[in-house]
This record gives sequence, structure tokens and C-alpha cells, in this order.
Amino acid sequence: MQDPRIRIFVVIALSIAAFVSVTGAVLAFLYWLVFTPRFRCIQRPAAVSFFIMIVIVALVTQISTGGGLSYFIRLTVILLLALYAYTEYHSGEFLAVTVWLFGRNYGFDPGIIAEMSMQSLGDLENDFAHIRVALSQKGIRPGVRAFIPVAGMVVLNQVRRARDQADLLTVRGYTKGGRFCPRFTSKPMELFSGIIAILILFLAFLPVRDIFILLQ
Amino acid sequence: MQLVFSNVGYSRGTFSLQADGAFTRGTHLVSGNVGSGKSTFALLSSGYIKPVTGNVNRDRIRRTVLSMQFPEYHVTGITLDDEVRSWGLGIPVTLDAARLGDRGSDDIASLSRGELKRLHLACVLSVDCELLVLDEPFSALDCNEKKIISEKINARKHGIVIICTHENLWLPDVDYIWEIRGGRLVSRGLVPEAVSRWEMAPKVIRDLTGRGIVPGNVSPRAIMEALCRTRE
Repeated sequence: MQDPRIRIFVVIALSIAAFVSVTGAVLAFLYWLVFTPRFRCIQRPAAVSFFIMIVIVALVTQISTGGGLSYFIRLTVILLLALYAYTEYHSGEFLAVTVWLFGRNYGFDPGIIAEMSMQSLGDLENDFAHIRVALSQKGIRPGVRAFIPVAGMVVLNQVRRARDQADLLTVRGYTKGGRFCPRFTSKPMELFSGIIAILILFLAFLPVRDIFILLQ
Repeated sequence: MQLVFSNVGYSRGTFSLQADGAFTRGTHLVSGNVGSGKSTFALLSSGYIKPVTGNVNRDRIRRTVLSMQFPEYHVTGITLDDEVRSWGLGIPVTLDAARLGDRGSDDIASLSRGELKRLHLACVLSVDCELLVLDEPFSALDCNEKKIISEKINARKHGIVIICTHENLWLPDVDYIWEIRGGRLVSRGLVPEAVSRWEMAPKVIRDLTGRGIVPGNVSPRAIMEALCRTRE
């Protein structure tokens, strides 16, 4: 999907739909199957870690209070949507969308913050890929023993990068706001998929019984 | 002992790299612009990424050590002592080599990037291995430190050393020159003949070869010797 406005809207709408009900989650999953590059999105090492975390929490919830299956389905779909959003993201899109949405005065700063956050996520992914190489080279298996120094260095790297970024913005005279003229291109199919997402969001708030009444 | 690239192809998004050739015993300089694929080549050489096409054959190479550009990636210890120990090395001798002998119990996060790079290089250059791949070994180091590291690389007389760098002034003496141009690894051959074929050579070398004077190697000492030759 080329138009980031539609893509971001779709991801937010479907995430809400998946969060509020299992019906919404199932419909959002069907959307994910039909309208996204699907398995290209999930080919990321971090995806497995997040999925394992969801499974653990779902199991604990199911055993302790019940409702673990619902939690598992909803959160897994939200994870798939997040991976889709992350895979399809191109640098500058958040800035373009927030400036388009809120104007130059109010849209620029949230856009810059979102862009820097996305850049940090990319840096973290890159850091972990390199750290895995280093651990493998020393014959150290990822675990508690290596966790503290590795996590410490990851945090330190992020702090150093943030400081460099702050210095750069200061040197370039940034105080607040800025000029940016976003341009977007969208295809009719993208608009159609956006409408489907609105429909799924609407259906997610209806009880399952009402959906079948609507279908009749 | 050799590292052989046979019709190797690697791609990621719009980036692609092709490599063909054999790396034999000695020191190999792989030069190229920023973003040309030197780090990717280093990862391919050390086996941490697999080629999409072709294969990389490691003939009689039992142990490979890769030094990545940013030394932070290698840190797995809390103190300097822990870090040296994680490489399986003797603590006093390695810390002395890094000129950090009195700081063994210090928190490794207290080191500057230059000091950390110094410690990291002292470790990787002390490890016994058949293949040593150094990705940008001179980054974060001052000129004096680059000279010291170059001397240590020169002193290494065994195995294959591959130096992937865009540094073109403070270099050790090398045996072979390779370049990454237009997404392809190109062999310039054996030094000193390779020096005149090195397209990305520093200006001083290009000026010398333009006047028909070929330096015996790429180190500052060899270039100085060639410059002195012009005055004769």
C-alpha cells in the first residue's frame, strides 16, 4: 500500500477492532491475509520473541483467571498488524501524515518524534543482529549471564545516538516546527481496502449475533 | 589455507553484492566507498550471513574472528577483565596491549569509544585464528593509534587477514588489494603491482603512479619511501 495515510488509518482501525472483540480480531486477521504482503511481514527475528511473550501471558491468564484464548487471538492479530505497519514503513511517512493531518504548526513536531522513534526501532533491530554475531563468535548462548552487559550497551548506544541527534538538531537551529510539503499517491484499491477496514471496525463493536442478523 | 568465493551473490532490497575470488594466506585490503558493501562482505567472509547464490568455501580454516566496526556490539562483559576473559585471553597481557592495564576492574561502559575500540582490537588481534576479518578497524582511533594497530597487523605472520575499510591513509603493509565497485568485488592483484591498479587509491598514491613511481606498498612508510625516491 503506497499511501501512508490509508495504511496508518487501517492499522489503527484494525488494531482497535482486534482489541475490542474476538470477532474484530478474526475479521482483522482476514484483512491481513487478503490485503497485506502477509508472510514477508513476519520474517523478522523480533516477531518470534513478541509471539512467545503473548503465548506466555495468554497461558498465565488462561490458568489464573480464564480468557487466555481471547487474549491470545486478539494480541496475535495486533502483533501481525504491527509487523505489517513496520515492514511497509518508509522513512518520512509519519512526518508526512502528521503534517497533512494537523498542519505545519502542530503536525511537524509529533511527526519528527514519530520518525525518530521509528529510526530507533530500526537501530535496535540492527544492534541485536550484530550482538547475536558477537555472542555466537564467543560461543556464548543468549541468556541471563550475557543479558546485563548486552542490555547495558544497547541502552548506552541509544542514549549516545539520542545525544548526537539532539546536538544535530541544535546545530541546525531547530527549536520547534518546520516546513514540509507532503505528497501522496494512492490507488483506488487502497481506498477500497480503507473502506473495508472501517467496516471491520464497525462490526467489531457489534455482538456476534447482530452480525448474523445484519448479514440476513 | 584459503577462503574461496565462487559466484557469490547477496542482495537485500535494492542493495546487491557479487564476489568471486580466492583469499590466500596474507593480508588483504578490501577498499570501497561508504555503503559499497564492505560490512556485508565482512559478514559473508566470516560466515555470519549466507550468500543468496554461489558459495563460500573455507579450506583449512578452523576458526574465524570477525571484528565489527562498532566495538559496542562485541561487549559481553561488565568489567574490562570480564570482557578480556570472554575472548579466552590472558587478562594482564591483553590489557597491557590495549594500554588499559590499570583499569581491569572498571565498568566497561566507562570507556570512551576510542578506548573500547582499542581494547576490542587488542582482544581480536590476540586470538589465535586462521581467518581474521577486520571491518573498519581504524574507525574511532586517532592517527597514533591507527599506526600502532597497523604495526600489530604487520606483525601478524600467520593466517588470512582481511581488512575492509575506506581508510586510505593510515594502512598497514598489505599483500593483496581488492575493491568493491558498482556492487562487485574486483581483484587488483598482488602488491606492489596492485597499487597502480587501485582505482580508489589516495591522491598521494595516484599522483605518484601518475608520474610512473609505484610505492612498494600502501603504508605511510612505503609512500614516504616512494616520495623520497622522487627527490633523488
